[in-house]
Amino acid sequence: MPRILLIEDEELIRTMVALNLRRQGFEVDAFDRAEAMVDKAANGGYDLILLDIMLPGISGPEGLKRLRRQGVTTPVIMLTAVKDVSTKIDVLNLGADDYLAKPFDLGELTARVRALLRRSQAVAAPDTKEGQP
Amino acid sequence: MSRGRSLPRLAGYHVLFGLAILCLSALVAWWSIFIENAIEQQHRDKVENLLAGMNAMALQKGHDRAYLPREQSPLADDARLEVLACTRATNPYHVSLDPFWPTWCLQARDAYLAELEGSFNRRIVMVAGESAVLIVVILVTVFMLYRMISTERRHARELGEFFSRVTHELKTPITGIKALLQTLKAQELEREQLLPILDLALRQVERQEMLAENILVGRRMVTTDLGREPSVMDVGRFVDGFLTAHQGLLGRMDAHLEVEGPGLALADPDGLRVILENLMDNALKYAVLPCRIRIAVSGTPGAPLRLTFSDNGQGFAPDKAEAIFDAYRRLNEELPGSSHGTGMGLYLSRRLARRMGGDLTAHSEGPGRGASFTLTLKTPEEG
Repeated sequence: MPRILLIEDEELIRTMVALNLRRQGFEVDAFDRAEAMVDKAANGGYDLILLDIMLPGISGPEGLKRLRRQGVTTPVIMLTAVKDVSTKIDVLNLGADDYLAKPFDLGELTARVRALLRRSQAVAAPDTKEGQP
Repeated sequence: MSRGRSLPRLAGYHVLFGLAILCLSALVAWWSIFIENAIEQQHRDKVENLLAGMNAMALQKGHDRAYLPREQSPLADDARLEVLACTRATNPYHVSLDPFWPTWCLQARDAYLAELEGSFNRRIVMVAGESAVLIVVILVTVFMLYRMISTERRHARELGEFFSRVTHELKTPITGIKALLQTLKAQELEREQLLPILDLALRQVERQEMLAENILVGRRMVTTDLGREPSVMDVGRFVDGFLTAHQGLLGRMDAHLEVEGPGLALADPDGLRVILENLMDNALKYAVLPCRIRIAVSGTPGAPLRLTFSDNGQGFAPDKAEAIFDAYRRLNEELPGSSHGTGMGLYLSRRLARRMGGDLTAHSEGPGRGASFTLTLKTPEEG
């Protein structure tokens, strides 16, 4: 069962996203601060991180930067209400793998989560049939 | 992140201002030297004219080589000159007469020389003073321009951040409510599971309401006299009614109202409601569970009415008691809940309080020790 780490300070969004992803068969740990993400994700075990940009304390992009600096390569989808191009470019350059603007559709979120997980699993376990005699 | 990109541009402004100061100072220095040289040249011309005049007069009138007493000298009438006995000419103002009259020489009178020197020195001092004043004026002007541009840039940045926060405040509740509605459409939830979620959703709706209200109040404060014509009202009863009307919001907190003495004051009901809503929202945003609020209304004859709104929330550093009322400023970016809000609530509340003839102040013993906001209002006797 894929494990997802959700960092979102807005309780209603956190609750609804976690509830829906759990119903889709994912294991979800949800927190309201990026500090929690840096500690938890560094210890490994998560297949994907959903990260809000505007957070109290360490912001989403700052948390992402720290995460990547620690060598954590877990795929990250950024969630934010700010959708100007420069912010998207900045977070993608910081190491985010995808970006979803609020208000998002839960179906789209789940589809993006699945797509990213498929991609990362494909990278982790390349097709061994290729190149075989 | 956009701050990072604007840094080189900011540094560019500093360099531009530095270069402007240097250029203008160099211009003033050049101008001062030019004027000083012109004054010196004028001084030299005067001296040369004097010498030439003395020579000319000596040649014209010195043909009589007989000794004449000083008062009978041919140049005795000239205020600038005198004839003296001297053995040699040691300065440019001593002009030897022709060889037949070697023991006498013409000398510029001391008073005239002093006047010449004085005029020269005065003009040099005047130029130096003018240059200094000009440099000071240039420095002050450039500094004021720098301050003005810095302030404009800060305001533009704050406004940009404000709009980002308004966007965030508009979209975040919609995201949560949309997710809730999509979930309810797709699946059924147990009532026990649904009720706390509905509470969260209601809170989001109230936040939207508060945002719309604050934007409206901000606009009304610019375009109308909101709060400028307060009327006599019973503040204790008003707060009681306010708490009853906001039962939904108060469901998550323990609110307690105390009224001591007469609660009459001069206030605008709309303004007072907006202040109370903002204080309530603030208390909820920085709440520590279990959230407790105490509202005390105390009136003593001859003194302004005091409404004290205290909570047991996260509080703030005592030195931030004034800064939290700045526009676009939020209590503490580090605190949970600080990513919400537009930073306008307390600013508008204080402005409203002051428009009503009162004031709004804040106090906290420190982070984690709760906060207390005191609204003072004029009493009918004071008004």
